[in-house]
Amino acid sequence: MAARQKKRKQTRKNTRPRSRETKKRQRAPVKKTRATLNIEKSILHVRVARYNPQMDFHARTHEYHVTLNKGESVLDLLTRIHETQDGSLTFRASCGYGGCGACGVKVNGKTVLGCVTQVSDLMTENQTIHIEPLHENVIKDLVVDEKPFFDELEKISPWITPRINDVKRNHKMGINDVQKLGNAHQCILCGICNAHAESQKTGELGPAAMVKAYRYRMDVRDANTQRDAVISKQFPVHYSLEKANACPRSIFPGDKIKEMRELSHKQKQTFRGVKK
Amino acid sequence: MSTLTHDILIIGAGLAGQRAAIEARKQNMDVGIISKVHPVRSHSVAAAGGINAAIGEGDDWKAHFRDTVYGSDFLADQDAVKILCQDAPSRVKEMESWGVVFSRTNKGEIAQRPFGGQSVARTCYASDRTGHMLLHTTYDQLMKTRPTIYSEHYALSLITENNHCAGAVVWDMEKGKIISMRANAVLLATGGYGRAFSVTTNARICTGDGLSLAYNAGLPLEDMEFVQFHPSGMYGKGFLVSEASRGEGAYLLNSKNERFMKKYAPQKMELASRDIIARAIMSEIAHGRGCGSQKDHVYLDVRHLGEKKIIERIPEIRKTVHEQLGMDCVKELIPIIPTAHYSMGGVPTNVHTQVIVDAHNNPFPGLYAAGEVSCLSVHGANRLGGNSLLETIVFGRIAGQKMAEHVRENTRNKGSVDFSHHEEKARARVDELLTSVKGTKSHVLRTKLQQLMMENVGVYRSKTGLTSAQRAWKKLSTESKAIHVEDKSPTFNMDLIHALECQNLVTFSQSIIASALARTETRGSHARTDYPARNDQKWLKHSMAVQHGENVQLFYKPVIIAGYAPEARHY
Repeated sequence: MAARQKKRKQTRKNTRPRSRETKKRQRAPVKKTRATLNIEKSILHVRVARYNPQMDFHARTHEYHVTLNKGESVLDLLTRIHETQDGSLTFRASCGYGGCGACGVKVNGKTVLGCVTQVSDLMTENQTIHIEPLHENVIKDLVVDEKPFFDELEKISPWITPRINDVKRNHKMGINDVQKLGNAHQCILCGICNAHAESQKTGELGPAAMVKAYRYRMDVRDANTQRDAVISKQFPVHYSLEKANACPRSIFPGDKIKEMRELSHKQKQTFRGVKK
Repeated sequence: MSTLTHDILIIGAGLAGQRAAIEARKQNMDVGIISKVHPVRSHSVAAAGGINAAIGEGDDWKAHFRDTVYGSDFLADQDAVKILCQDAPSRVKEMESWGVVFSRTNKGEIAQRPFGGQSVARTCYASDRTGHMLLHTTYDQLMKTRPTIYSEHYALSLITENNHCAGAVVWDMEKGKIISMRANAVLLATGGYGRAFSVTTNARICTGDGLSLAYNAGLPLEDMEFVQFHPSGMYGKGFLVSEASRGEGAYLLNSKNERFMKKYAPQKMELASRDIIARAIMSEIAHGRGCGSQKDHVYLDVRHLGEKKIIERIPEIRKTVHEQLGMDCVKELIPIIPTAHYSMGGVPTNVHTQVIVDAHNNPFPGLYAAGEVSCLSVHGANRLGGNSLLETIVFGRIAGQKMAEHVRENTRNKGSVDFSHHEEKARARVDELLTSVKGTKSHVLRTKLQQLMMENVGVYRSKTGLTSAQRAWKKLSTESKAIHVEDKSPTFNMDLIHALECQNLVTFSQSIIASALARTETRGSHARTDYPARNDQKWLKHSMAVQHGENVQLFYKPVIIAGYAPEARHY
């Protein structure tokens, strides 16, 4: 294993940056040769971002040709390529129905869960689909480093701090109080919102951490005022709240953040009003 | 090769593993958790319907106990069922105080819905995302205890020496290297094995790895023939259409638009236990009353519930059916078919979650199991919906407590166990796969096994089918020793992991086929066309399967009856 790691081969360097390549591909019309005219319309050009730390200095793109099957999701497609063409193609996947959050990828620029996204919905007119990892922090191929994403959650104490009079509550919670949470507690921690936020570069709390904070902030059973202090100091201003709304669970972190900011502002005003 | 040491090593970070970790951390144990996916990706997240607890007014744990034992077709060990049902109310209330967002009644109490095989409505639920809610809340509480989590690490083998468990050899998936983990106590919490079948609700990760860890270490596997086929899997995909739909009043219809459950379970109808319904569906199809052009499925009808109730009570079903099948269940019928869903069998344990080695329940020191991978047995021959989530929390907590006790009572003799032999063996297994130049690809072998199991070890079994399955298995076993892994890089090698998982699937499938062939009766989810009746005189006992060279050796263990004598079972 050591020997294998030692040898870092000089690969064919893909000297052109990906973005230019993409633009060139998009500009060039599909050449209509005799061969292409005879090919069935369902042949897909699948351009996948590849990166193997043992072999590559930086990411490269590999193009696969497959005939698209009806009803195939992005994950189905990747699986088929992995099984029938290239066993080294690596990606995360688990539940297959959009519930676990493992398979986030970028498809033709759109961040989605691969298992619930139909290829036919996203492919371009010239039968092309470009699949990239969710963000730049890549371990291998489409597998990104999730550790910073999960570690960040701890900054906002993502657990309940029960109110002192919890015993009297007798495990009751009004339906109105449940509705106050909206759908924040349905987050599957897929990382798609954070992928847009680039908050790791700015040092701000990412949208997923803000949604988690909202989930406990709005829970009547929680009494963690320290968390409020943490999030009100770090209300994110640098990332696009609109882009963060790419959430596959329709949670809209941007809206949640705005709501918490307004609440925090109101509380400060009230405090000032009370102070004598 | 590096060696890490913890008091307790937990393999698998779903609900059971996480709950055990929380309990052990509360008792100041040094806990290492390994999981082949990040903990929140565990399959517990997919559980939908709810969690049972006798917290309602007029409800009693004894009624829950009777329902569970009846549902198990009297194969459940009643001492374990007692603990499950007695502890349920405290566990559910604890989850609520941890912040689980349960659905509520108008009075603000935890809402409970009717569920299969239950005499009263006692299934507490969070819409139809109960598993997700419980898992993420438990993960939040786990974070509070600051555990050591080795995410994306795969257990290759258990280290067993001098008849006790001393740790495990583990593969770091990101770096591609082997680590030995020493521990005073090891917990198997790796979940079920739905992926041994071609049609399953289970995620890709449900490959029964913990079962193979135990089986390869010479330990027995209990009641492996009892595989639950959930009646309502999405036709063509296998994904779960939760029992919650039937709890809210859905109908099952055949091609004649009849609610055919009237013939099979006239009292409970669509809320009979899952084994009865799965067989009913297969029977309807076999008699030509299946739906669709191929007449190979039936319909689930929720249209009469109305859009408002569907959005409130079963929104995930509506969403998934729309995403996967492109239909709106408010207006259309959902095509369903029985699908491999849950493994009643597994690594045998006593009520303290200690893994046992023989018919006398002698424990194997240092090794524990909890959750779906274990077989206590609380579910016997058939599990009731809502009892699985409960099992993970009740026995996950007990596992944490018992392991902490074990650690306190047994000071580890550091360095007494030689790990190098186990490391070399594990290294050899990985190297053989990484350097392979020919052989069967893992997905080809896996598909062959899945089809074999689905056809011959499915809802209905027979001597002919099981015998031919045994013969075919031998060929697959030979092929599994020469799998071709195309990806040679050590970093995050999914091709390698799939090959290891495939080998595991083949390994323990042997015990499923053998146990099913030997059991000449129909009980719970094990249905023999050649032996259609239940036979308490001969078969009121647990099957135990042990590896014996290339074959399986079977022995039997008595069922613990404690308060509810077996009777005829009808719904």
